[in-house]
Amino acid sequence: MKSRAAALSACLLAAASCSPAPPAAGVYVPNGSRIFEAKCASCHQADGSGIPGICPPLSTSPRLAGSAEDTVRVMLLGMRGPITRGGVSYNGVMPAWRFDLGDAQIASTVNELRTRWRPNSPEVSEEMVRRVRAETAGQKLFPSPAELGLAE
Amino acid sequence: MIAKPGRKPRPGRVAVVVALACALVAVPALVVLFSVAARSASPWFGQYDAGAGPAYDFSLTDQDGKPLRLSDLSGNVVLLSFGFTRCPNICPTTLGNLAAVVRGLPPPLRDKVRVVFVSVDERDTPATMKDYVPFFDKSFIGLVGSPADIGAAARAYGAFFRKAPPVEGDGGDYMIDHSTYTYLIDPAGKFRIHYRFDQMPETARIAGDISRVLGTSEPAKP
Repeated sequence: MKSRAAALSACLLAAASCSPAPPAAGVYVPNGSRIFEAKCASCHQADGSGIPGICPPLSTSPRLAGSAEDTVRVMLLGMRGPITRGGVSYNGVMPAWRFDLGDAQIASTVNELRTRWRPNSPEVSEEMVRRVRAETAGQKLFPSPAELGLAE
Repeated sequence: MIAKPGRKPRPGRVAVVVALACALVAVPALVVLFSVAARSASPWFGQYDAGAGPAYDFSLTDQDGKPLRLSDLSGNVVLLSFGFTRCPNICPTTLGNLAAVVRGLPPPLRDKVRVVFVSVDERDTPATMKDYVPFFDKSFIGLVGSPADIGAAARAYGAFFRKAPPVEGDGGDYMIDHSTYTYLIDPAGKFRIHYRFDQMPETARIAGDISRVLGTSEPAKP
């Protein structure tokens, strides 16, 4: 068992580390729906209802309407700590996707969220994600909702 | 065109050559077909290791500062992963998926599952674990230990980790590259199944494996 697991792990180590680079230009970019299902739905749930006490719902999130910069910032930096939505408290951790997802993938994912739950919101552009990525480049990962001004 | 006497192939030799050519194509094709069929016929979603023996019985420290051996959890299915609390992506995703696996099990089975997260980061302490693991599920167990004990446990399960260069963000602090498997240990303490990271979103299928290991065909909730 050890040798097999060791060989498998060794093969995967470089490709599955915690700091992989976003996909290079020209490679296949999955659409936002597939990214949502693979990376978001286990916590936020497929119907966007979230997990009581841990993960706030996306389906009723006020952040999906209007400017998407807050949502993009959270996707890039992650978030950890208490947050209140509609008088309900949650305390969980959101992964930081800046090392895994490129600008087009993040834009596609946010647009998927908006299509599902805020269909009249304007489309998020790859350029906007690129700008927010640059703005947040020096910031620590996993800020609290309070540090992002999103606690309430 | 004038045929060259003596170069005319004999019918028997032609048949042999044709048969060899067919075999060269057919044998690899059959091997591939049989291996695909064998995989698809497996009742397990994860990679099942029929020949595996007892899982390494590590002794580490939990989030309450108390010693915990793997064998203390015997009688339960243990889902074990290695990582660190500052991990930006792999670890929170894995633990989020494991929480979904546990939630998807019916209560009698849920109570027989323990999720154990072992830190490979010397910066993690019982206190950081106590803050971290309840983000996913209050029943999760977070373990820390000396570099020697963590290294021994990781090697025993074939897990790898190493410090990575500082990356953008997080104040230039370093990350840790680590392997991403989740290991399933059965109630008798035997290593049974491992899951690749890309399999983890399939939480209902992992729950199905757990149901089988626990000897029930009761389906997990979707």
